[in-house]
Amino acid sequence: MSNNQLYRGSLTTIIMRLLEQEGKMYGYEITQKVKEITGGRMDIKEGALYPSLHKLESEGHLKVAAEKVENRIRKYYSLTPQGKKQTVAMLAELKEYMENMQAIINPKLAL
Amino acid sequence: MKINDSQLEQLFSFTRKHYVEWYDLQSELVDHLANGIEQQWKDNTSLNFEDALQKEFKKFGIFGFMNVVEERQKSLGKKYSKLIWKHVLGFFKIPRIFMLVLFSFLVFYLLRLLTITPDYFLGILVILCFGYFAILIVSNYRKRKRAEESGEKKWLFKDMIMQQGVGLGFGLIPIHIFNIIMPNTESLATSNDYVLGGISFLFVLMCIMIYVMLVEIPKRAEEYLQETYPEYQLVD
Repeated sequence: MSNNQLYRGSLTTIIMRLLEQEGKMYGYEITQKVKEITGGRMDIKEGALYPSLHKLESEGHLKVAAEKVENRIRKYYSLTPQGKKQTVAMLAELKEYMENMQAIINPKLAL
Repeated sequence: MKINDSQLEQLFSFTRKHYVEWYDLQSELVDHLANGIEQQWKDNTSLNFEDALQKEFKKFGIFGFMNVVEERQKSLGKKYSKLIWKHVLGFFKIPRIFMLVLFSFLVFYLLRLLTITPDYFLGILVILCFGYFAILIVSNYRKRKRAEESGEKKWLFKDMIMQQGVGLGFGLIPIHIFNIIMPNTESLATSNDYVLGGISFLFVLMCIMIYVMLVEIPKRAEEYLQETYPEYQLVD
């Protein structure tokens, strides 16, 4: 991810939103998807992605499935029912945050 | 171009060289590196394997795989603690709660009968704990050696279950409580009934905890491993 404090706090939201849209994804796929959507402007750091995935999994927001793909094992992550609820709440929170920031940065537009 | 079997093996040894000893983490990281390298080959077919690997590894930042390993240990440690609690709480339900009460009373009467001083009692506890610790170290060392010799794959959660790594300090916490509540009297038998009852109960609880960590959970290890690792069955 670009070296920016703003993005760092959003990694969890990004992961969960992507999984909500795509169903199931594996780690590398998530990094590529973010690059693709943002036109390469945003780059998720691998060293931060896997710790986040494992944390979300242990918190019960994500579940894992394994598949043998070619000669190796691939781990797919997807949202649990609890994770789905959490995603909705997180997105609502993010939206509110963005609106507030918009109001502060550009008061006229927000009106 | 695709990663072949020997390159895949090189990737596994690369993760091992970078302090990832457990197969569950290795396999996920190897898949990631392999995907990254294959993607690079798509853009530049003449790129050699070693260079592509180094480029991919750099993306993990200056700490390499360290953060990944640490976070995994932390989250599985939490899972293990929860598992211990779940088992211990099982002793608070019928029919096992009868056992808990019965043993607490037994210890209570035993302490009443015997005129041992708190110092002795603590001494016995410490000896028991160190004895347990010593046995654990020896048996773990043997197991590890056997596993290494047979080339068996290591799983982080399995290591935790079998070595009680995180649980050890956790299980011994009650010892400090004994220290605090231990009355400053000549003999335990003369101390207040409630205090003695509390000591007996905590002592039995500590024994249960050790029993859970040493016997109950390891006995169901396979079940817990399959639940933690969906890939467990895919691996020979």
